[in-house]
Amino acid sequence: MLLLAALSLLFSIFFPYWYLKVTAPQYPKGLRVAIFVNHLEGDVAEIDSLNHYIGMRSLKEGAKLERAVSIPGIAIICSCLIATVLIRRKASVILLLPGIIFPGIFAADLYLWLRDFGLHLNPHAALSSSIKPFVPPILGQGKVAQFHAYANFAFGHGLSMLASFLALGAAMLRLFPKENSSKRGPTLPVVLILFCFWNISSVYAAEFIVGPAGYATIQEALEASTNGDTIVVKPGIYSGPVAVHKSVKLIGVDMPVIDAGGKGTVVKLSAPDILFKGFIVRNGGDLLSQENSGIVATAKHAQIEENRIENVLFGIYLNRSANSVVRNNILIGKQLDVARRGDLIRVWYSDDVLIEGNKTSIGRDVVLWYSKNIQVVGNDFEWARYGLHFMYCQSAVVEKNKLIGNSVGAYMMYSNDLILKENVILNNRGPSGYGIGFKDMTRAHVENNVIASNRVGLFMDGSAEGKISRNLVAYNDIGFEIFPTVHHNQLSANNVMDNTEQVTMDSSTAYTNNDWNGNHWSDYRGFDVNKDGIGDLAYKPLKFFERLMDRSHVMKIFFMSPSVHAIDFASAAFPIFSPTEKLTDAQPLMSPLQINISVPANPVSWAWILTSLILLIPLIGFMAV
Amino acid sequence: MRSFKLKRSMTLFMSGFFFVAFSFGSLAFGAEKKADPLPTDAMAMVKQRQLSPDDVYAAVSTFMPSGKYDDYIMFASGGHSGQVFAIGLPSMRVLRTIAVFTPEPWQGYGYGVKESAIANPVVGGDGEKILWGDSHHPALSETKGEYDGQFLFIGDKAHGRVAVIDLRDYETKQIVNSNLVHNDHGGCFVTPDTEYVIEGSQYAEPLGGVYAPLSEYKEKYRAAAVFWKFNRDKGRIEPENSFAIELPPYWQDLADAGKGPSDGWAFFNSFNTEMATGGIEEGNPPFEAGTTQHDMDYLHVINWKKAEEVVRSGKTTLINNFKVISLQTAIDEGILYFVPEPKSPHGVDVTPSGKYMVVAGKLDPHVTVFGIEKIKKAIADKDFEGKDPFGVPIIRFDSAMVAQVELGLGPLHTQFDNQGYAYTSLFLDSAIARWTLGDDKFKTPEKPWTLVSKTPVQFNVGHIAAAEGDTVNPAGQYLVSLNKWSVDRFSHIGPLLPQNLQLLDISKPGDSLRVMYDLPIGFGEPHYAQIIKISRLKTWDIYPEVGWDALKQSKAEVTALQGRIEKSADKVEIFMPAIRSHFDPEHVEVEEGQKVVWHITNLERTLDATHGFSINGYNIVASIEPGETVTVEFTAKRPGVYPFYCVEFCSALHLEMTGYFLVKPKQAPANS
Repeated sequence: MLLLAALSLLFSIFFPYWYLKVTAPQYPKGLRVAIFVNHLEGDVAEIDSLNHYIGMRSLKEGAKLERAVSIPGIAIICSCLIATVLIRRKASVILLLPGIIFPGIFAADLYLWLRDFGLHLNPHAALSSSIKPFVPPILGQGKVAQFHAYANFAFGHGLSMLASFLALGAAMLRLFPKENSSKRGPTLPVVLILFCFWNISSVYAAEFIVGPAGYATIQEALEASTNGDTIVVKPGIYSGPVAVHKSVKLIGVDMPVIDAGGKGTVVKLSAPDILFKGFIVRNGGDLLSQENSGIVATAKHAQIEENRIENVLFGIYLNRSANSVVRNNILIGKQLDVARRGDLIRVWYSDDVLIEGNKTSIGRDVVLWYSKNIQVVGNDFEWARYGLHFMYCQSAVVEKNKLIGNSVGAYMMYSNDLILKENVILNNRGPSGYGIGFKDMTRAHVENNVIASNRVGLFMDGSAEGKISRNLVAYNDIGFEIFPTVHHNQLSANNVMDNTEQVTMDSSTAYTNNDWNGNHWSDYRGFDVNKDGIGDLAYKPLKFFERLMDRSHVMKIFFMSPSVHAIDFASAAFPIFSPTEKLTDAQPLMSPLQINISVPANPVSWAWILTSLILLIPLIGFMAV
Repeated sequence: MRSFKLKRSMTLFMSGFFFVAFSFGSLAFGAEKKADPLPTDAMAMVKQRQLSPDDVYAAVSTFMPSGKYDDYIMFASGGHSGQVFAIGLPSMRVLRTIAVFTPEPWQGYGYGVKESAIANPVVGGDGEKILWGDSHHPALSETKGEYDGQFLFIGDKAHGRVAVIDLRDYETKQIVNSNLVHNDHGGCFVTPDTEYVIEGSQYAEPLGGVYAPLSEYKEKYRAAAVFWKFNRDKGRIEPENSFAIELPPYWQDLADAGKGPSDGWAFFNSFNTEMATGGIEEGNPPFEAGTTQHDMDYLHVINWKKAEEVVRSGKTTLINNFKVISLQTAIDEGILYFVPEPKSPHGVDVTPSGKYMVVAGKLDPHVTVFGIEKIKKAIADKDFEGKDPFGVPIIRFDSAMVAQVELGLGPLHTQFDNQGYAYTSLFLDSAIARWTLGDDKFKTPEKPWTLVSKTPVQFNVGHIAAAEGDTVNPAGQYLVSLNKWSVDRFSHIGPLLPQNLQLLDISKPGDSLRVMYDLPIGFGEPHYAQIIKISRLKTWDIYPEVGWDALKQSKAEVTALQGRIEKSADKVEIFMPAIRSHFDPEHVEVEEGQKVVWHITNLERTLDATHGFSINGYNIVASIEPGETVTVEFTAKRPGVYPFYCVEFCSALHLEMTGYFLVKPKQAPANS
């Protein structure tokens, strides 16, 4: 442990102990000076030249003695630490004292020198009248004339702090030994080291304020910051675009506004590990060809949370931004024709992304392409074109979302191993009007969804080995539309209720081998003599009236009327034109199944009234029977 | 009292029930009451085969009694069979193959006949003769924007070539190659008077066949929009009067030429303005991801009339002896403009009036319609959004766009009819969308720019072809859906399945489209087709004169009207007329190693009196139609006896129409 302390202290020589950063409009990148134990680094010359206008002495003149003795001094302290290892007496603890107090001494000494420099300005300097003597900050923000200054301790000091803690720990152990200290041996140092490193990173991460009392613009604060810092933005209206090119945490307090005035992209996140939280981002440009967006992230691990993004073409665009999180944002597009709008959430080539709890409106599509292992959870994608458009996304999870009133609810293509569950997919009635559309999906699991009142509930083309079960497929114009390239799927335990056409399959069964066992069909006309809840006759939809409907859609007017039953009865009794068999469910359920969904409820949502009605009606019907 | 009332009301109810049932039943079968019933044996057949009323209607509409002719002929590309198919509509009977890029023995194409467009095949990068093509989009020649039935042009995607087919005798007369790029896709499309045949490249390459690494994609790789000058009198493309425009490497897709108000303009789509270069193996996004990254690509708007002037004033460079207008010149001279178009689109199709260009979004469920007047105005006003990385001005999208109509998933390609409807194929929905144009040549009963109906096709349609559907005067009536997957439509015939071309009846307004016929194509992959009224075609039944050179389309210089053999120092020349049922001479004797030049002339003047010619044991076959003369040249390398015979059944004594070709072995050198 003490060896570690000595090493740590030794290493600290090579790292800066403290730094100061100044920014001003004419220095957008800022000026920086770092203090090591024995020398200075950074823009020393430039700062000196600036300082001489206000009459501050050259930095080199400060702490000359300290810098000279620092290396030998540290050497002595280190040897004291090591000596303590060898000298096993309690009194040797005194040798640890220099090591323990060294960081404190440094800080105190630094402070005294800062005071000295700041308070003793040359009165004959050129700008002496505009600057009064002051104390430069040792820690945190300050302002000198038009310069924002920011100071903090740095890694080198952190190492000396670590050495100090370790020495203190050793001292405590030496003074108050425990019986089984040898067993616990490594634990304490390890804990201390971990504690110190954690502290170093968080303690020495700077925090910047943007607002009336701090930096005037977010961009300035960004220039001043380094990776790992936090920038807190106070309420106000800031003009965009904002280019976040460092790995910082940008946190808005009381929803500050970033406004791009109707041009271009508002916020660009181009560094990894950025947190962007709590902003109103608005008024981006309207050029689809330039993909004008609210927020674009092009590096890994962006966290975009709790923002409100308004009047933008594209909302949040993740472009090669793997491991990102887009959570609890509200996104509102531009008042344009739907084809002319942008995609409010667009994810391209970004694996392992989480899209959770977002709400979109007045958008075009939510697009997720070429990204593996994405999770789309608890979002509200309503009244747009594609609620969700999904292409080449392997192993995705789409659950607990509301896809309501879009042209197509969710269209998923060319992806394997999808889990689609507990979604509410209602009223998607565009020209294609699929609640869920599958094209070439393999091994999809579709479970516990409510798919109701769409033009087509579930459309499947080219998909195999899927498991579709425990869904409510009700009140759609067509419940299931299945193409002949759909094979070896298991469609069971669904409640297929009162769709104008339950299933349409324009093919022979020769190619399909789908297993339709065990669904509840609202139009099943069979008996259950042995009362096991399973119909005694298989369910075989062979309806002549559907043929008439195919020929003339106007005939749908007669759906649910007695004449339909008459015709179907007549065709069964006098078979002239026999309709083709679509499927056989050998064990149809007599009553509907219970389906559990836990989508977060929105008390004012009419969609929920509709959903409850849909679930209640069959229940009431069943009770009446 | 009660039971009596019940009984009566029961009766009333039951009669009412049956009345309703039977009245609706008769409604369903109602048409038969009014029209003449089918003959009883036909009705029995209908029952036995379990045909529905729709099936019966389709059968009656498409059946062509023996001796009756179809109204239309459809010329469909053969895909990588390299040929073109001629199919009659509405019977959907395949009438014949036309050999274009691939040797075809029945037509005597590519097996020794000199007077043939394929006589000297191009040699590929492997040093081998190229004996196939990937024929994609046929284009019929036009006069004043209507089909004139004279020529058919088709491109070869695999090798970047264009072929000219003469529809007087259904034979390929010319294959041209610009030698600028090794591929094309945007070809062929013709200008309204067939001044030019357009061929657009697809995958970007350094122009001229030179090498450059992929790291220099942006600097060195380019595309070429080739405008082949067509000389109608000669019936040939003139490469020396043709030119190309250098384009950025954006992977251009399909093209179309403007007409009427847009005459003088040509339009090309593109789908890789991202300039993605793939490289899955290097960890880059694959091409399919990279090319679909951008929300919009660029519609290329090219002023070819202006380009003509630029070429005439000499502002071109020569690449492989082909005149090229460089990209910079095209920008400077105001020939090339871009308009943003949604998402990797496929087809661009000009409406019958020539006022609008319809772009089908492929990954966008909308079609986007641009207007030529708006585009011209935007250019004049310099209403640009900016410039692309190469400096091409980009017209503002909203200033060029007229309408966007949501049709369904995967729109690819649009055709037009004579009722004011547009038809767009929807690949993912596997359907044809019928929608209304606004303010074009014809007016529909429905509102403009609206979707009217979607008709399922089986399955996954690519292109569609409407009768005369890309001219200024579409004929309406029929639409053919060129479906990519037949799946379960036909009997199992192995893992390689045929395509399914479906005929649709589009003659009535509203939601009335119906599929009438499934045509399996198990010998090629038709990508696109052209459908022309038979009345426009002026096909010969026999060649105009005896001794006709079918390649030159004129009397041949050398004919074989009388049989004779001329021997000279370097060759043996045979002049052999063919007439039912003999060749003259019947004995041909040469020495081993001698060069043989064999002329055969068909002296017949009657329909279908074709003679074939083949020498047993040789890779030679010719099909000689009445009047035609052909020349076959070869070296008799091996001694032996080789019968020759007429391969095409010509007469009662066809088997006897034969002769002997004798190759005497070289004298052994005298031994000492």
